[in-house]
Amino acid sequence: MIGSQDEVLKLRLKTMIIEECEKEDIAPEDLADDVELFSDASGLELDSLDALQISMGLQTQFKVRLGDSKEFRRVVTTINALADYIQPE
Amino acid sequence: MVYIHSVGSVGRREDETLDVKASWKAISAKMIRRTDRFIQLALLGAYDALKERDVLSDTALYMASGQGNLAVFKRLRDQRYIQKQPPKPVDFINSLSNTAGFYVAQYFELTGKNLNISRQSLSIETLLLLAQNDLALKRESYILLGGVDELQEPVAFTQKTLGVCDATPLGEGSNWLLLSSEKMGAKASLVVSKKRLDRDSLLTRLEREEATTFVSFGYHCKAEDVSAIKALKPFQVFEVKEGYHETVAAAYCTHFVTKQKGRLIYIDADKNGYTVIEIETL
Repeated sequence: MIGSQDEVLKLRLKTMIIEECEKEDIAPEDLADDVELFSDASGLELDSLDALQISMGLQTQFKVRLGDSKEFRRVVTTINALADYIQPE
Repeated sequence: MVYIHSVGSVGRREDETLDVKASWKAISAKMIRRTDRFIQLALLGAYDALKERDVLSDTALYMASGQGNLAVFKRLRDQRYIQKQPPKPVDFINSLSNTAGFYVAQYFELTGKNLNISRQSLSIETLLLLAQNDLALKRESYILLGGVDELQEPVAFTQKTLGVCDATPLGEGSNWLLLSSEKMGAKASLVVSKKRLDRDSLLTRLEREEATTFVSFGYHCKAEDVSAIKALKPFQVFEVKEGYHETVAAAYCTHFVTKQKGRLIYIDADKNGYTVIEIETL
């Protein structure tokens, strides 16, 4: 199953992002699947340090290692896009 | 002469509990992101010192700690050498010596000098001496000076780190003083000795004190010297029940100003001799 169709994977990703970025006042279900995570629309108010935290969370919890900031920006856009990258089929 | 304009204190003995998160939530609905317990402890103590007064934005911030943020250092060590993982970025940043000072300055919008010293003995006395000099030289007009130490569990780990015996009651604390060379509106005056004193010089110095003076003894005072001081005059001993941590001297200062009237001589030592902090309430 492609990642964006896998609700369990998407919930794990949202939970990881909320925990790594200490945004516990936001519930995972409040985070839309198709909203840009690093945009005002997400309501997360993420910064570059959050990007590093998410990168570490992806590495430790999902065994996904993103090589550099360019790759991070390409992959970590929306929850759907990230889920598809982790689980392409 | 240095004047104490405000004091703030949070702390506990090892047999007590202190829910730092709950205490902070009682002050502010929102936790400050990326802070750990050590930083929150620093924020709580500083908040207690400044809650009832305005503070000038150019106030300097001097902070001391015996061990610094030991919890995050221990976590980094475990991540690196046991879990074989790179450190989390936030943990790495919080392991830097002055991160707690940054968060205190950010919360109170302080833009002045921000100093941090970490020293295993006499860290508060060293910092007070620096503050005394900077105020005397008019390099600063106000200094928010604090001592922060966190008690690590298990207690045996902290005993080993501090090199103290099992019988020493441990504690933790965040004790802050707002200092200035301006007397008006001050709660107490403070003088810290510029030179180390040997035993005889200390006894000579204390002979000049009235018997109504309170004395307090740091954990590094020799038992025979404490007995000799007590034999000099019937001084009243001022005690703080916070337990030992390396910045406990700041707790003696804050508690005396809050709870007592009169004059306090706080004595502690390192291998180079004795130091004295004099506090007199106004």
